[in-house]
Amino acid sequence: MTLRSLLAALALACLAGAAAPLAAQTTGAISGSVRDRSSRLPIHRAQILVDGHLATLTDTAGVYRVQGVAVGSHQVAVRRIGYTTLTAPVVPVRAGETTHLDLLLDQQAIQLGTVTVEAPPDTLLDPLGVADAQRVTQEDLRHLPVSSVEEAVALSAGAVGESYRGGRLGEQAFIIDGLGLKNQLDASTGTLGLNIPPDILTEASLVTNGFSARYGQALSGLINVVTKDGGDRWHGRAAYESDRGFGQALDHGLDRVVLEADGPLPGGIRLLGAVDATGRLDADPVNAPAPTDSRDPRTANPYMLPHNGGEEVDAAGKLTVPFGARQAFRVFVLHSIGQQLLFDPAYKYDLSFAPAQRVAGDLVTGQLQLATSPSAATPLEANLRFGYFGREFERGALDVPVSYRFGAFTFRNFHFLGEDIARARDTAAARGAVPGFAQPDFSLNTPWGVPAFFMGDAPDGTIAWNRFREYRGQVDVGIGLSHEADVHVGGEVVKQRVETFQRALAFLPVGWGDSVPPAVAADFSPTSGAAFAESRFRMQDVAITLGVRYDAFDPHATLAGGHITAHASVNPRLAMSAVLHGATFVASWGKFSQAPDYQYMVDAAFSDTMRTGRFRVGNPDLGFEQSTQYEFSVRARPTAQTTLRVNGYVKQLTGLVASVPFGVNPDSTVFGNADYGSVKGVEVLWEREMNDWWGLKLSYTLQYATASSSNGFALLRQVQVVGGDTIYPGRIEFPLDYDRRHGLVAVFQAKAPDVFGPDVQGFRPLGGLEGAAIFRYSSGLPYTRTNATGDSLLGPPNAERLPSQSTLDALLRRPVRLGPVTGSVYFDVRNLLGTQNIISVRRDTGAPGLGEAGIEAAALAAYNAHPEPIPYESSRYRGWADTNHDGVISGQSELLPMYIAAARDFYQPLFSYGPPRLVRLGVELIF
Amino acid sequence: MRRTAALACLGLAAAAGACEHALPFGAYNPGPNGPRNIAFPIQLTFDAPPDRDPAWLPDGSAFIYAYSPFRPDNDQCLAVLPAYGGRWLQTICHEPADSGDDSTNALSNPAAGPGGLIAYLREGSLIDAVLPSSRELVVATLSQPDPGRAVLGLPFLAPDGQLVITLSHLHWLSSGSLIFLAERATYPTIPPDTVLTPIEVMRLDLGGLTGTVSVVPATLGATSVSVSPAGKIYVTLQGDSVVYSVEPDLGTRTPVFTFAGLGPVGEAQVVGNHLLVLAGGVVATQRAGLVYEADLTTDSVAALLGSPDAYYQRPALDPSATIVVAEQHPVTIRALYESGPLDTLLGKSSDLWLLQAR
Repeated sequence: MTLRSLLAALALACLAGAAAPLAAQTTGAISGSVRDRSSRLPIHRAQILVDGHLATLTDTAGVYRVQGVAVGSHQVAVRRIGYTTLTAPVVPVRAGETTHLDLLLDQQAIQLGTVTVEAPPDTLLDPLGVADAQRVTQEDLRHLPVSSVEEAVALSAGAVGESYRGGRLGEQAFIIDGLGLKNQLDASTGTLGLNIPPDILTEASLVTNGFSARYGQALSGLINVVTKDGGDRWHGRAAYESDRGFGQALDHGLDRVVLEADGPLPGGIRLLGAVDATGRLDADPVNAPAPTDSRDPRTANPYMLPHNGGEEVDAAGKLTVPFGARQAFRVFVLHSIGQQLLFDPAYKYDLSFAPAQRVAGDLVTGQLQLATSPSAATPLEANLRFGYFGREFERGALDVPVSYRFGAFTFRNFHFLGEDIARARDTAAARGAVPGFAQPDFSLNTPWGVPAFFMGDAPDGTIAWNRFREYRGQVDVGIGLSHEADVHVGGEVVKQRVETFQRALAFLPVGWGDSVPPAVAADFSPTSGAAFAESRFRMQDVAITLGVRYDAFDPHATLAGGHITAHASVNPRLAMSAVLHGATFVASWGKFSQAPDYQYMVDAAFSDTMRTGRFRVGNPDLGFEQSTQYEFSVRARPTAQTTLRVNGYVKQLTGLVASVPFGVNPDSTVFGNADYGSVKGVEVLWEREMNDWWGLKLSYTLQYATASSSNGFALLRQVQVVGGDTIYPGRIEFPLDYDRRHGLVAVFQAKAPDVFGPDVQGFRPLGGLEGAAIFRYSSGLPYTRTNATGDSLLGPPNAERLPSQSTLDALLRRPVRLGPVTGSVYFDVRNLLGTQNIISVRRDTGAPGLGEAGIEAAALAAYNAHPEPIPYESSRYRGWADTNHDGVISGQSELLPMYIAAARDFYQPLFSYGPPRLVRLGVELIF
Repeated sequence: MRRTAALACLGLAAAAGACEHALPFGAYNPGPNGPRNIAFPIQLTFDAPPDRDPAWLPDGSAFIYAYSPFRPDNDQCLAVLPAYGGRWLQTICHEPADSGDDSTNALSNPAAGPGGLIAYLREGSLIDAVLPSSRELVVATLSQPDPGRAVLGLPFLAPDGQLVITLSHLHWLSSGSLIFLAERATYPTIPPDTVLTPIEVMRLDLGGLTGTVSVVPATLGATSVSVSPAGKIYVTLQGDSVVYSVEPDLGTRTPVFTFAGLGPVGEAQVVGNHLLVLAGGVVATQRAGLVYEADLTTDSVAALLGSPDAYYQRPALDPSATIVVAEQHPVTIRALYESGPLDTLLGKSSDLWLLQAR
């Protein structure tokens, strides 16, 4: 099937889909049986009510199934004349899963009555749930020491930050309310640009195994986010958090404000709105050692870096417009903007010239949900979704310094030098020196005086801008074939646009001295599409899920080497599960494809941050990155209150776009689409559900993620040189970048009864107190050693290991009440023990720092470059260095100590260390 | 529980409202840095390359001069230094945005005028070139000194037919006019040197995009020119020990003071009743000598105390007539050849020193 025919098929599917029912990842299903308690015979035509509305009737076997139930908790009731009505008040429904609820009715002899079922149904053992989904809810986010969906998802087994099951960054995709979403431009190095305010969340889950054929664009994980609809009464939450007043070491300038409200509007319309704004004067705090030289101004406040402030504002709104009995139209809007000043050691003493960046994201989605009557013989549910996603990234020098209004909030958009030229991708205008830029020079404002390491006078002349936009249409049709079988078909069409611009050394004209490269710009409009079919069957305690997905993409990009070709991929997926001896066994197999980051198709030098800028070149005609995953898992309930899940998996990765060092410049790499890797692992998840004051979740991951040797252009094959020798590329295996062997996460929660602890004049300070703690331990990630110049590897790639890391986070929350308003006061501590975790090291030293020998070598090189004397009248003169007091600092004996002090300052390994102890005190009001 | 909530809210409100966040470390501040010495004569500059052409700002708080920053491109820049020395208040280098360090850009002969105006001579050449490829007179402000406005390109043909290669002794007559000493220049290559020959005094009026040059009459053969705070023009002439005042409009030259017995004088300046000149030494040949001051009311003359083994060039009397900043050159007296006549060698490297006026 060509891409064109695929698009046509999808268009037809969209037209047909308007009349059909679908299931989507924002909904789940409830199924089970209804029987007579005494006779155990099935009860025919019993009414199943979900949240008070008739949903379906049981069949002759007493079996029922309700599809398209919104994710969340629901009340389910069953009634039948002659029987006591039975109500299950809290029935959880999870995205894409079927909640199994069997009910036994008592015959009603004399008068009608209602019996409430207190025990919630068990979804753990449901064989139809084949996905390894680790979930967090809005309540989890409130009660745990986490502040964002990303932080909560990172608690999942197999997660290393945003790397999942050994995959690199960018091998995951987001599903927001059933609509796929990905930063297809630079997911491997950049952020999504969108942050979901936790208050609008129903649940978020990480799926790491054979995820549904409905979803693509990922190899290692799906992050499925379901937002809630506005409620049937007005409700809201306001919260403020800060670390003000905790003192130098604990005050990092944090202010966070959260506002959320939702409720009904006339006509049954529901509205939801939320704003989550966070400002931090030091947005990237590090637990680096204090400087040893008392002349370093950082000794006065070693805890906070200047020009490192950031603000993040996320605003979301959702409108739900019901029509008919089971139809609804939803519009969801999300805008995120994150602005941050970037502390750059080179501009430590001339902060106004240091770089800054802004990432802004916009998401608009619409969903039309249609469903047939619950009494229909073949229930259908259709979801037609469309969405716009835009992400804009900009980095460079600010045209005017920021002015803080409150804490780290500026309430103004950053503006960058050369911004207009970048947005217009005007490479012609960028040939000359870009207005506003001037030539930087060595700083005069350092304590060390010497012209080395530290820059001043002007910014470094970098302009980086890119924008990614996509329009996505997606249709899902779910057809209930029977109570125990359904089929889903659908697909999506995505139209994207990639625009980029980069200019280096903008204070000089292009070509000056053969050292100023021209500005690079790109503008192309890729298209991608997919179609899928998936079916699930359940036969007693055995279930089979079978699916296939077809993916295609065409970059529609033409570079100097010619047009980049389109690619297609077929990805089958299969899962079988069975309940045996009280445990559910699941075996799954799936093939997954994702288009490569489009940044590799751009003739540009991308760099992820100013701190680790890398320049890449390579063959941009890249195909799909692919993985094949096999998994076997067991789920069981050892006791009534505990659950156990064990997952073993093997994942093979092929066609990865990877970068390898290129030339002698350690910041330059060449990329290709040929790397191969494999990941094997075991995950063990044990949970004691919250009961008798406390609950505990433990997850442990043992994982081996390895890659084979290759480079951007040579596959693992022999190369015969015409008339010459045969070259056999080396065949070795080495760890992948995210090969974290051991990972342990423990999440403990406790809640004291309302009447608890000492009574102080009628007040119990400990009553209702809630506490949570998260302990994380992980073994070190691999890294590659190089020689001092960075142009030769020492040993195989990733042969060295960082030290292990551990953190302990805690949160205490005390509910309060103010008249009709409830709320809480909470105290949140991250890295409670202040552990100094090393998160990166230098490749040349294998340590965070350059080392004394390296510092002295760097100082000597700088001295040799500028051995000129420094006279008294110079702004570089420092009296402490003029040891012979003749008014001139001259010669190696006087100048070199200045250079050594400067080098020691410049090479402080600040960002090699993870965050320090962070605290925040918060108050929330719920109304 | 209600009390808890109230206390919590109050506490948090107090924290948010009353407490400021701690701040990161600020920019490094090297602190005050005053004169290195307080006893006259005071050495003001200590760098190895020559420091040249000091000229006072109108308020006398600082002076501007030319220095070499020891850069690979051999640029010469301007610096502003407090009156009694210390750290540079400002440095001015010419750094064209569209070029970079592929050329030598030399600034010299600065003159500070009213309203923050400055003027200076700007020369450019390829690095290591013998001859400058461009030379122009630039007018700017101290707050935005570079690139300024080029108001006169050199060389040029003066109204009286003189070919003017370069200039020196630049002074502001008013905010709209400058005065300078027009010079010829030759560049002998063995040894490589620049030989300047003064011609006469000229005036530049800044009315248009470029200035209009006129010759100040009765100044042919002038070796120096200055403008007093009162606006009067003073000149010295080749081989003459007399200081003259010049009236441009009348085209007349009037003797002001004769330094009898001191030989030729140069670099005459008048502030109030103080008259400063350079005399003795090698003033006639190399424009270097000792600094003398005459009291125009008493006609008394005295040498200002300086270094015994140095000559001075380009002395500049401050607007209050209390201190003099001058280039100090080490002097070596030696025979050119065995048993030959003694010759005075003036050190190329000069620092600026501060002398105390009478």
